[in-house]
Amino acid sequence: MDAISDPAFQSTKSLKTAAEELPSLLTVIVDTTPKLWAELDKESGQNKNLIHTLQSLIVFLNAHLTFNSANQVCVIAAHSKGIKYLYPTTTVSSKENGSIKQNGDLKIISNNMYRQFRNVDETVLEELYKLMLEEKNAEIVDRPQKSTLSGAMSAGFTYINRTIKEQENTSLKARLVVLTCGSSSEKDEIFQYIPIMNCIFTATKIKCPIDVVKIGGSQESTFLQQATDATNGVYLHVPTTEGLIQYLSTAMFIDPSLRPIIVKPNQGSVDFRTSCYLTGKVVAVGFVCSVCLCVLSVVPPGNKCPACDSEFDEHVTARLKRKPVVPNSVAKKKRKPES
Amino acid sequence: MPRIADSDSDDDTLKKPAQRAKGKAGKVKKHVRIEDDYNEDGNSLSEGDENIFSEDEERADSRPASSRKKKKVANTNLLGANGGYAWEEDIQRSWDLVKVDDEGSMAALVSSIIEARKKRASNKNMTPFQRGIIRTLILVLDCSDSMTEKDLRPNRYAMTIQYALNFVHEFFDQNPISQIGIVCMRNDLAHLISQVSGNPQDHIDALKNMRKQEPQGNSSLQNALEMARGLLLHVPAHCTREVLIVFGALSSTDPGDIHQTIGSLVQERIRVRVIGLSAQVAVCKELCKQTNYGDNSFYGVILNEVHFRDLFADAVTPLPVNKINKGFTLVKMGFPTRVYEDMPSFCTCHSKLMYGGYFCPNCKSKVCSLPTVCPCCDLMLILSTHLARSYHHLMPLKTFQEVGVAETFPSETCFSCQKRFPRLKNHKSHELLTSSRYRCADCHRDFCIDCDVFIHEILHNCPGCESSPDV
Amino acid sequence: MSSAPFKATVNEYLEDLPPQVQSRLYTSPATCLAIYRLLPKLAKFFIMSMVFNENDVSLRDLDRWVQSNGKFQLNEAIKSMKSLHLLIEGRSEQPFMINLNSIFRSSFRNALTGGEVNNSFGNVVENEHEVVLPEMLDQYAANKWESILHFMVGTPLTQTPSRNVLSLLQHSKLMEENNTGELQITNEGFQFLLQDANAQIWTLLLQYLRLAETLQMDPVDVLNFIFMLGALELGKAYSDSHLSDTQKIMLQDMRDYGLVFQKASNTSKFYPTRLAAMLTSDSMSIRSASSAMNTVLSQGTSSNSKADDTTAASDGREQDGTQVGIAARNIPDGAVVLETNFKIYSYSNSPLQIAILSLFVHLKARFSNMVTGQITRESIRRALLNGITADQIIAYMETHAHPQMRRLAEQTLDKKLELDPNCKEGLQILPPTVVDQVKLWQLELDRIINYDGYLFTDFDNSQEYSLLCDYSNDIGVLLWKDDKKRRFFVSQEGNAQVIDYAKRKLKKK
Repeated sequence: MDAISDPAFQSTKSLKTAAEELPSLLTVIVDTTPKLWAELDKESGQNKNLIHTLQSLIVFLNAHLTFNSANQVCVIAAHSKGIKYLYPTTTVSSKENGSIKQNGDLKIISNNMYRQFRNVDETVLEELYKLMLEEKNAEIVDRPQKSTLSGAMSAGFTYINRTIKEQENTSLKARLVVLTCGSSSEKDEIFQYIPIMNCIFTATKIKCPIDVVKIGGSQESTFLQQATDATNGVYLHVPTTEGLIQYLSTAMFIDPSLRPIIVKPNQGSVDFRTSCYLTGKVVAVGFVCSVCLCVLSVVPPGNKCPACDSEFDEHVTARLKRKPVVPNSVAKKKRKPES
Repeated sequence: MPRIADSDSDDDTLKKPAQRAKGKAGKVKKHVRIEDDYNEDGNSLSEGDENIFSEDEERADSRPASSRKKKKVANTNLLGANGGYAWEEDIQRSWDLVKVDDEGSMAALVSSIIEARKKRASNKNMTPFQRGIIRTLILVLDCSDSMTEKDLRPNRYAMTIQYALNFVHEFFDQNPISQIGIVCMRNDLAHLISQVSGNPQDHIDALKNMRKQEPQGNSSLQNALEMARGLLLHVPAHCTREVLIVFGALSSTDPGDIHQTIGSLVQERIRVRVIGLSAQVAVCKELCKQTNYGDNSFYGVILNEVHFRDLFADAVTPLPVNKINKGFTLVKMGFPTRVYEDMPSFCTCHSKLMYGGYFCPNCKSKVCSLPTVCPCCDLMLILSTHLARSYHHLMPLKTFQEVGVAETFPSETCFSCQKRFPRLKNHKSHELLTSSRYRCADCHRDFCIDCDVFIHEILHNCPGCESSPDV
Repeated sequence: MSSAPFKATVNEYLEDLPPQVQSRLYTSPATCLAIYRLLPKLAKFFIMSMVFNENDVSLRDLDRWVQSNGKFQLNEAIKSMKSLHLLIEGRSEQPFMINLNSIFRSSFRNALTGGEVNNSFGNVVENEHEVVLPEMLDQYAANKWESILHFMVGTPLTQTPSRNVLSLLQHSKLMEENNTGELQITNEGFQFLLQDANAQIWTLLLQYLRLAETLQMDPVDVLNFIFMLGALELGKAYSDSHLSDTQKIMLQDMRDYGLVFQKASNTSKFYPTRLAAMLTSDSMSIRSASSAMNTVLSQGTSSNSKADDTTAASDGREQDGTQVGIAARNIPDGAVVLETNFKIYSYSNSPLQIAILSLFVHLKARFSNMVTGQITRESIRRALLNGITADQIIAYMETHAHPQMRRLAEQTLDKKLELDPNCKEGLQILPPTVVDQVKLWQLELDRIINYDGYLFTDFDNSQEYSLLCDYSNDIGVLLWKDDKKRRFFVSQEGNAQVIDYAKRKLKKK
């Protein structure tokens, strides 16, 4: 029996599993609200920022598909009126049945390209074209509009969940990449705090890292930074769209199976502090209402929570308001030896 | 599995004798009658007691007198199919449920069973309560002889520890700013397994160590409750004080009067939840009822493994705040900043060398992980993400309504995952069994069952509502 | 899991090519794509990051990019890239600066961005009137391929494979001619049978390559054609107008293997089959040609009924609504369940799978959708005597293990890791009793170990005997001794030394 336990007999299985290539699912969320891109164009003085971004995105999708022949891709656009799946698409089109690709496609991409790439790219570009036409004809609304990015991220997670459930045999790893552009005002983001936090917790639960590329703009998007930090992802703030493909093919290309061994770009400090509900200041030490969990920097007047109107216990608030007091006797005693 | 009760316990599967005397006239009728009489609070007890003598006389000839029959509120779920005790009915074989329809295909049946199961899973109470988010929970595990029973595989003790491990994971996942302590009842004593703390790893290691010990002796409820009281003594007013007991025995060996202990628990506003493993024990019922202001739903006795897991999972969600137990306060908390360092330095909580950490905004001492209480200035330190984790309890997502069966539907694919809705047809009548569509009340989008379960259990965001640009 | 060995063999072949040939290979984008997919993960990552970057990169930067636990993979990656001459010395004269092979870089970029591809990915024939259904292609491919395999196993066939195929099999030593002039399977042939379809095709293609070199066919053309086949889309017609002459000859040969389909020998269109598309794929979902057929057939019935639904043609995985029971669909054909009592159950219907199983399993019963049998000592001995090793049998069962077994193994591993995080055991898909027993049976065959050497006997007295015996023991060449009869046995290499010593010592006397 000892011959069996001879290490020569134990096959080197550990090395084999290291060489096993696991397919991965890449979900890309692109923020295509025309207003944001127009502002970016104005600020940076360049036109066609969106076009450049999309070109780099297409090459990035192709690169992901090359990595492993079983890799899959999903692209969702968050536009001003809602969200739209750019790939895979299930539009019930009015074209003739059968061989849709041959007859109906706009032939945006050369026919000689590798078929696997071509199918994906063609679909993405066609759907985007249709989307832009719709945007052009859409009405302009005066009401304040919020960003639909959180909705697109939520839909992306449900798609990941569905794909993993459907293909239980092949262990598929998922990751999410968010492409957004800058100069989004901070006020917008308040609306999305809770949905984005829910997305972050979902991502940690299903072990899907979130990577973010932010183009232009001067401020960092704190919520997206927190998202990448909590999910072991990469956050990149890029000034212009030039050379975007380099960023995408290096820092954003880290496959989930390679994440344990590749060193990620350092984020620097991430600001986790929230702002006070009443005053809006950033809070380092504050008071939290135990009912509605809103953060306040001062004890509110009237002992009532401003968000949920629940009354606080008098004694407790009095104790919190107390300041530390130094008794006089100690001070006097100290003076005597000195004099 | 219900057992022959001893003097301390009452059997919940007793039904009202009045129905029995009517004979086995159709199952449906009996069930309806019972539902009418079923009350949430325990008020029906009093009427039952009055009727007991008259009914006893009635029944003297119809049943062998084996136990006193108080008129208890009968739980419809536990009632046997033909109105008798659960052990009296025929063995229900699992394959009898599955009937093959005419064409020999079970596809539609299988899928409707799957959908029904998923629907049940997602049907929870979704009204927004005010809940106690900052919780301190003492987990009491029974390690007496009764835990060596093999009715749960491999034995009750091993399964309890496994589920307790899962519970600790889930609890800290859903309530990051709460704390747990673990106590075990063994050899008529209560032992502290793990101190009250907010670090899940300590508890997990302690529970794993518990596996090496064998359960022994009797269990003592009073000792465990007294120990729990002691542990919860110093908990500040804004935290909820809870005790979760997993009780496998049928009796309790106590050094004094347990009712006094229960009284002091009520005074200190400690809420107790009990999961019974064998049968219902009167003292546990009393305990749960008094400490929870007359609510009977906090004592559950398991039917099978799945039920056990469900009862544990119920304890994870925060308790709604009661009018009596107000305790609204402001809690002073600190939000530290993260710092990266080139040279390692000591952390104040474990005196370990590490690169980087968090600085307490009050006393500027370094701690290594959050959430924690700063060892120097006793300020609770958390990140805003920990608070955010509990938001979905306060503002729960509304359940989606199932769309009724109709000829045509406005949507062909699920809004969020783009899956095509299946058409499950009854083979005989070619009608749709179910529309498989679940609609959100706010944004009127349809979702498939997988997305529905995923959204309500993990995501807590409706993609339809989030993707509409209107504020 | 057996993609690793086939990749290794293809990699070896490519690495053996001289650099000039490799450079010529890299002019074709399809080849670049295929070679890229053969590399280890970390190498792929590095190459992708250098494709769009013209500057030199220092090796130290690459080193810093990888954390300390990935150093082994880093070395492996750099070695593989260097041997394929993808990494070359940088243009600046500083040491340790490397750059990507520029030819490779430009063709790879073209592949990614759809630039000048120059028919490397094949020319699709537009306006195709006669539509060839994928089911028909799969059936054709399965028939051709399995006829080859059946021929090797020895089941009686109505149609033997063509002469070219037979000669290839003979050249690759998978079959040999025995006394009566017929072809009989060899040990390597048995091992070939136990591999999965991807590895089998590559083995044959590599043999074909070696044969092609002797026939004066340009290996670059041959490789380009093979990699191009791997990049074609299933079900589309391609024209052969841009193929070189070498490649046109190859087209005929590929027909015999079932990789492409042509309506008649002289038409200019050809259709790649699923076997061709599998060439560069990594997926484990298709393990044999017949399983491919089965999966397509099961989807085929539903695809006919969805003629009015329009789903994206590119996402061929969209299923019709009435399909229920996702788990049932994903059981690959030929999935094997192995119990601890040595019983085997295989969910397969194809005669080929059953024939392969019968090589080492004693089959007992056959049902409409499965076959049962038992692994016995005789069946394993039969296999071992035919030249199959225990490792191959175990590897075969592991690759064809039912997904349920895999899941069970993963669960037990999780539990073990939970109890003891330092446990280093790998995934045990098969029951360890069976695995150990098969290995033991193999050891049984090795009961005798032969050593060549010299026997020393007939000593006059015991001092001489003990002197020489101790000496040979000291220098470590003593293999056996018998003190009573004063004999000892010395290995062949040490014999000379002992004799020299003996002469010296005994001369003195």
